[in-house]
Amino acid sequence: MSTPAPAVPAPGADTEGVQAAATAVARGTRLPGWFVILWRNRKCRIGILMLAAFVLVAVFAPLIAPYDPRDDAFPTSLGPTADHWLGTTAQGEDVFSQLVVGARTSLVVGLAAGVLSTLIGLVVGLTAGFVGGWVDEVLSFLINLGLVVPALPLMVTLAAYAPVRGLWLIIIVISVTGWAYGARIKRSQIITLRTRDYITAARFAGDRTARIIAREIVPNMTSLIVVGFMGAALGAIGGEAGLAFLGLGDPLTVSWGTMLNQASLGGAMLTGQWAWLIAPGLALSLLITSFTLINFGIDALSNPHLRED
Amino acid sequence: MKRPRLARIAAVAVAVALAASGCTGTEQESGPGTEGRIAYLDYGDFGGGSNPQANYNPYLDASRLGATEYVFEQLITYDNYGCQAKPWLATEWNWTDPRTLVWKLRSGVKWNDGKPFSADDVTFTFDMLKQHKALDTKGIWRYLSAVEATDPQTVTMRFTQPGAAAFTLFSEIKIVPKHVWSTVPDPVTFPNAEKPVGTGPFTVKAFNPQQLTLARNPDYWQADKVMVDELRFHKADGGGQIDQLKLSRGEYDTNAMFVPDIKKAYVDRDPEHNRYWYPSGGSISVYMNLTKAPFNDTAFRKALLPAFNRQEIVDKAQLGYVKPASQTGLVVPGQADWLPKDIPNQGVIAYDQAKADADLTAAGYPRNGDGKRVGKDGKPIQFSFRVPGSWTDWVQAQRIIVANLTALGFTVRAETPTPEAYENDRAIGNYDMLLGVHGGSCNMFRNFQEPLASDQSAPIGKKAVSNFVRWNDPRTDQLIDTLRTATDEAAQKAAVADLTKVMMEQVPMIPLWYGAKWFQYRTTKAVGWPNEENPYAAPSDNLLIITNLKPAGAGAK
Amino acid sequence: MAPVAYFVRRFLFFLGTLWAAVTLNFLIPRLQPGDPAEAIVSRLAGQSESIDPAQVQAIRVMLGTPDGNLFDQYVQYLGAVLHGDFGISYTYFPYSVTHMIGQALPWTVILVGVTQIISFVVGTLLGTWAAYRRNSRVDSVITLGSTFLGTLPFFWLALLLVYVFAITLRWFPERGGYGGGSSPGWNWLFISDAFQHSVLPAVALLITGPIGWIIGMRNNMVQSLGEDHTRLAVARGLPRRRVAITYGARIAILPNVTGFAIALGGILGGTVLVETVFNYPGMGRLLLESVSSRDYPLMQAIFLFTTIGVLVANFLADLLYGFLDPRVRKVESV
Repeated sequence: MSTPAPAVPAPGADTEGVQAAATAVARGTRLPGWFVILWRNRKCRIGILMLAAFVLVAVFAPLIAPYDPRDDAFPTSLGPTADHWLGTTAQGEDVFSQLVVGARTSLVVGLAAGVLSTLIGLVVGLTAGFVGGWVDEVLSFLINLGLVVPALPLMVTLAAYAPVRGLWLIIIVISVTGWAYGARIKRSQIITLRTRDYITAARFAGDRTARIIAREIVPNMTSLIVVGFMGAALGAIGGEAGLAFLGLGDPLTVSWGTMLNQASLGGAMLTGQWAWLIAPGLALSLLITSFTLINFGIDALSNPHLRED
Repeated sequence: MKRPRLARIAAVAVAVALAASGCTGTEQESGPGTEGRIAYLDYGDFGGGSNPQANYNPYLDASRLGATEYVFEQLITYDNYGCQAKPWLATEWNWTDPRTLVWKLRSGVKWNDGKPFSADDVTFTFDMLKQHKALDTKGIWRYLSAVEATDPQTVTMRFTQPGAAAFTLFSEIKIVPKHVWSTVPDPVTFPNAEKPVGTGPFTVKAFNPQQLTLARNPDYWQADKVMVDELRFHKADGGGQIDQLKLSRGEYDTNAMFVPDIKKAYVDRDPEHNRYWYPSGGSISVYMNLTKAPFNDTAFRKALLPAFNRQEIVDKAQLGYVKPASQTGLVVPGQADWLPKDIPNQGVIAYDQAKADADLTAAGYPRNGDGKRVGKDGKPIQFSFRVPGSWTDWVQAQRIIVANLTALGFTVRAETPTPEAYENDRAIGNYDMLLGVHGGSCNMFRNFQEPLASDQSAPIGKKAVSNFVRWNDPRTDQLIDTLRTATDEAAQKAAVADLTKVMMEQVPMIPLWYGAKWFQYRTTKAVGWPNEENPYAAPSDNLLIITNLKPAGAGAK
Repeated sequence: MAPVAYFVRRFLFFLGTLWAAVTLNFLIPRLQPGDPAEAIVSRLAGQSESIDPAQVQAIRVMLGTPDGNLFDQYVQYLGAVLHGDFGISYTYFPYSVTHMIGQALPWTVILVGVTQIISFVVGTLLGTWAAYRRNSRVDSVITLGSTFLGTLPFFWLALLLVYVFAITLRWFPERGGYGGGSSPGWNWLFISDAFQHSVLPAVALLITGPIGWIIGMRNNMVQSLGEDHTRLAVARGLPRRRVAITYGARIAILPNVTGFAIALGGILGGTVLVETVFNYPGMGRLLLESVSSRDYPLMQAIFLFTTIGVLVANFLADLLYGFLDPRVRKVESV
């Protein structure tokens, strides 16, 4: 309910035209063509810059954070002060340090779960779409099953039942509940592509299936895959936050979701610690926004109608 | 045009919402109390889950509503702080021999529908529990062999073995009316939802899933002691902030919730009237899997005693609300009477990392060249330490404990499974080290039998009933048996004293801190709540408390 | 492919997924370790008291033990489900699962149903407007604004609303479906009380709800407005507004309509967060509680209802799409 459906090229979008457009634009510069198109789109540019900022913070987190995020020697439940820019938690930990280190968790979960669910979706969708026949029937059934089972209740159930909590559990749970959407999109795109002339030509030329998939199909699906990945990643970031908020996250790691959970349980509203309450949510929101903005650019890349020129 | 239309719709919606918010009063008003009594008191949650249904069956522990505590009564009541039995529906009791207990019932007691209370109700209740094991939640029929009414005011109970150890259970079994329950086809599925009939000080006045209202029973056998006309219980939202907010605003006259900073959030709002008292409960201890090395070595366990910084756990994980636990397994200072005199500092072990280090080396567990502690096999000792991930204060304690152990050269893996997986693993013995709770009740037999008796244990892989560490010691079993059958206090104290020595010298587990019983109260309307200066009852002894409350300003404290 | 075959395929898929969901529902709780009786007692005991073995045993007896092996239980389960007998809830013993769901369902359906409908209408209208005025300031405001709003974590937004409007300003109640003084029933006191309690959750849902529809509708409409037949209509001199509505919106709305049907089906699944923050007595909260207290009968039934809801909605959406868009029936369904 909280995240919009990942931006998908509207039916009829010209994913194959992406390569051509990119090549056209790249003439004259040394940067890859797709990057130039993305950079030209203003929304996308902003998104790239924001994401780069978050990645930098996450990578250099130990240097940026003034204290250890789990160090609870400080006075509890403080508002923003000179020593603690965002105050301290009910246990006496520094909120700002937690925010900085939490960037790592959110990015790692987002990327890992995004990659995992995109991979699963890609493999299933490719196989179903390309091979066809009864394999397609079975896989389509699985895809539809995956779409129909409601995600959040399933996530809650899986996370609540797993014997051991941990970051990997969250990543797996999110991937298992989220791969189906991408799989369906990719499958329908493959079905469209496999009837193309150049594919038939490659077949007749004797190319093996794997080579055809790798050299002919996947490059023409890049924008689709990337958009799918971004969508899955931002869904994963939101999903981890939601699960952590419900108390099903990993209590040993600091993430923005667990921060919100702690703020809620630790009486941030009672003691008026609006910084503790607002900061993690805002950070989550900005990170997800950056992904969405980049998606706008990729959308524009593949669908000329949406370009801002 | 679209914009004005939307704006208009929005405006109308907001107007309706504001109008609706202005004109409802969701709280019932009631006039001042009659005859100098308190009109009503606001209590906290009344059980039954997040969407409670009317259920006043006192034996359905899982789903009954808190009202059953005030509508039904028992033969005796226990002051669970000082461990004193008080006559209640029974005025006298006498062990005519170690296996026979004769009760004299109080006369003049009536059910709230007017019918008289008699021994038939008592025998009916116990026979019903015998017939329907699902209702015997105290397991009283593990000890009883027969219950009969020898005359309308006397009940004789016979036990299969000397029954002194089971005595405290009678303070927890509610008596129900024969004339109502004998007509019920299946008492196990009987919610008793319509006007529950009991002998207690209150009756059910109104119920909806948000609020349960009880009204004073004017025909109660000690009605003159009940100075409150109504009790209003309010559904909590699972212990979240909203409830704490209500508490700090003074919307509860009493409650039992965990508040992160009780002084700032509650007491400081009204220092004169907002009070709290957190007496100690059971011991929360380090349980080690005694079937695995090095935990199977007594010298090793003994050396670990000073390794844990109990005070830091109390200060950080429990926010200073509890006390470090005694190694004897008893609750000190409340149960100090049972302590042998020669145990220093009441058995509370101080933190001394250097001593632990030296003791471990002396016990045959030195450090190797890398500073890691090695076992008898020469390999560095490593193990896992688990707590349920959702119990945040235990997770905090886990951090401190792991730090303490790592400083001594152990390699410890911190794990946080779900509570169900945790309890399952603990029961079947699939763990290295974790936390467990034991003791803290007034029943000394239970306090030691549950964690230590070999018949409560089971082989690794099978579920142990309550002896999760798998302590298996004939001398301990013998002492526990003595405790079970001892009828006079001197014999009981002797057995307990020897059991505390087992705890101190052989260290089956290592108590760290006492669980606390949360209890907040206000003295604006009612005084006479139990507290540190006047600990006449534990916070959960509802009947004792409600018959002791007086209107504020009445002079009595 | 003949139209009838399309519908028959959809129906077969519906049945197949239903069976798979029921079976999964049966299997998942049974594959996990743990004993419901212990879970109940440990919840009652809390963290500071030891678990009483006698109580655990008594509750075990009360809940009853399943007889027969896994397959027998499965057959029994299937039979019971077909009869509509979902058993007795563990946490709300002795009340039946159907009774508990019957109490929670109206709250969820009303709150989320109404807000979904409003979100759809508002979202589609705003999306159409944005596409109609694409690349203007209106378009930027709507698109960027809804993008940003859509990234706000829902529960965070809800917490902020509670903090500002309920705790600080005290305009609305902080939580719950209704207050303590009114009893559920068809009386004015209760209805206005329930309405008051539903304002904040509804506002939270309405802020985040329309976003998907806005973006989807806008993209679809931009797409269809850019198509050749639209350009032709404009070239022929048809008024722009008429073109936008007839050629743009009517075609663009198709995916949104089926998406809406699917979203309606997803109501039951998506309410967990709303109901947790606002402590609203609906299906989401019931599900969360049943999962954490291992109330198998209740949990299975809620999961089943949720999945059935989604399946039915999907099936109806497919039917609807089949009627609305003749092309689909001709092409292999994707």
